[in-house]
Amino acid sequence: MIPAVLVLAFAVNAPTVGRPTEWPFSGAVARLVNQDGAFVAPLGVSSEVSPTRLDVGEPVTLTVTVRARGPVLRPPGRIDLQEVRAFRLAFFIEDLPDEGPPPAAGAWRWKYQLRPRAEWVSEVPGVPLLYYNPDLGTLQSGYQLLYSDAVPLVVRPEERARSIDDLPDEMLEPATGPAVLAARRPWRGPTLGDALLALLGPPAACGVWYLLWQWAYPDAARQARQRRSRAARRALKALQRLPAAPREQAEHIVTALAGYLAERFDLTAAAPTPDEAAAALDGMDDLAGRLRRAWASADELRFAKEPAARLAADEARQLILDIEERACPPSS
Amino acid sequence: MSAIVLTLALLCGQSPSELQERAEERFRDGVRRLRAREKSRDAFLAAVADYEALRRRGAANAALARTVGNAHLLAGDLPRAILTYRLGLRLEPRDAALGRALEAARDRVAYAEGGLGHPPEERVRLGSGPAFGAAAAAWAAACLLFTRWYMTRDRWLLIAAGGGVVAALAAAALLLRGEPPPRPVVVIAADGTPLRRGDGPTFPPRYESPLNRGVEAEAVYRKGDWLLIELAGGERGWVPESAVVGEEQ
Repeated sequence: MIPAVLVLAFAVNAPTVGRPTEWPFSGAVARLVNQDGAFVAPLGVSSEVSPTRLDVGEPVTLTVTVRARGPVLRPPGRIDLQEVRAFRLAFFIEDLPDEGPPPAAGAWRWKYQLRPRAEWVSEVPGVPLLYYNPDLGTLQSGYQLLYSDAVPLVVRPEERARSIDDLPDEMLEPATGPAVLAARRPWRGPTLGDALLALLGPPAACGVWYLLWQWAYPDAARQARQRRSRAARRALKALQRLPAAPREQAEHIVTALAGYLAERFDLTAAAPTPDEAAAALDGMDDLAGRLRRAWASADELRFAKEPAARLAADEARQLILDIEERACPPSS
Repeated sequence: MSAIVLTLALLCGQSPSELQERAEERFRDGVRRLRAREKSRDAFLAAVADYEALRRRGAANAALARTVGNAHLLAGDLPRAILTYRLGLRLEPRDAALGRALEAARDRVAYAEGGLGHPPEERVRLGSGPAFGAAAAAWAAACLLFTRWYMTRDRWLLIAAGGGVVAALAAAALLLRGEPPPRPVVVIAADGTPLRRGDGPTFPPRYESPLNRGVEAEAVYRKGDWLLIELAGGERGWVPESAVVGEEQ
């Protein structure tokens, strides 16, 4: 039978046989703790890092705290981070004395100064706490490993001297004035109101313009309505372009008038006489009389000079306009 | 909009103009330190923080983007400077000062030989705003010409009105077709970043030359911590998200 004293001594001194070599042993020996009917790890480890944004080579202070959840057979000692590969690769490590107030009973605290080796360092890794639990059977399985949470770091590259001689002066001055506070957004397209305004605005404006023009120039408006008749348009256009020779001018005027009457009043005769043409203006006796006179004038043109031709053409044009007004009066 | 910004800022403490003033002071302090060969990065980053506070309160314009980009550039953060200029140009594509700043930043990028990663060429595009304006102007001209034809019955006016209608329809078609939404811009953050064939470090590089910091790309697809990006020349490949700065970082 093994003496109890020897047993107790064995339990407090964690065996070296079977001890993991990947992590440094903290020296702590503790048994599982019963909390609310469940057995939990007897120790917990946490890390605090300050600052978390720094330039490469600048130091951060790592504070490691171990807390016991129950009785501890042997307390932990300072964890040698030089023996932790993740720390060794990323940082220059220096132990710092803990100059703050001592932690509460059942807690242990150590401080370290870490300097990132390069800007690729992105976190302070979790601190491993390797302790021995004599409750867990074999010598090898008695060693338990806990980690604190890793803490993200932002390591900025070393600030090197930078030349600004090649930069234009406007880049070395901040923008000033209220323009800096303006809220511009990319244009997302027309709203319904914009689209309706663009679609209906111009026709509405042109309608107003037309009404104003009609009010300002009533004769021009009337003539525009009269020229609406295609027959009238053609005849008027023909009367504007007279040939050079007087004989041809006469025939041109007569042809224009005949063509107008044929198209407008269904005058079927290919070469109507003045009487046949006047007969087409049934109910417009005064205009029929003027038509006969215009026809006769055109006949006389064979031997007339040019001014007379122009007068005859003007008379024919006015006659056509008057016929249009009588035959198709303007709407109110 | 500036009134809303002012009201919100007054409720939250510091007014926008106070923030702006402080940011300008910090910027100028950074320039003074830079000229004196002193450490200046923190001054520029403090100015950026103030300008970012203004941006969160609604300020968004080319002048702000240009100043923030300049602050990043002077602080030595070339990728973030280029990203800020590109986002500013998205707001106001024709801002000349922003364009010059972007060119100055691009001059500092070490592009690979063979054209890989070279910046995109400027393309003249008819944006939706000008297309709408052109359609509206052509339609208005067509209405005017048609009305004048109705008054005078001059055939050429009617033909010209028809041409105006055709032009309006063409511009409207451009407007309705629209432009595809732009993909997020990303900028390579570290020198020697390989463009890989797959989303993992075990995939081989697609090209011999890696990409250096400042190279611009567009994010096509995200899978976990890896991004499929497309360079200006159409080359595609995968990079880790930590190797780029993007619009949301």
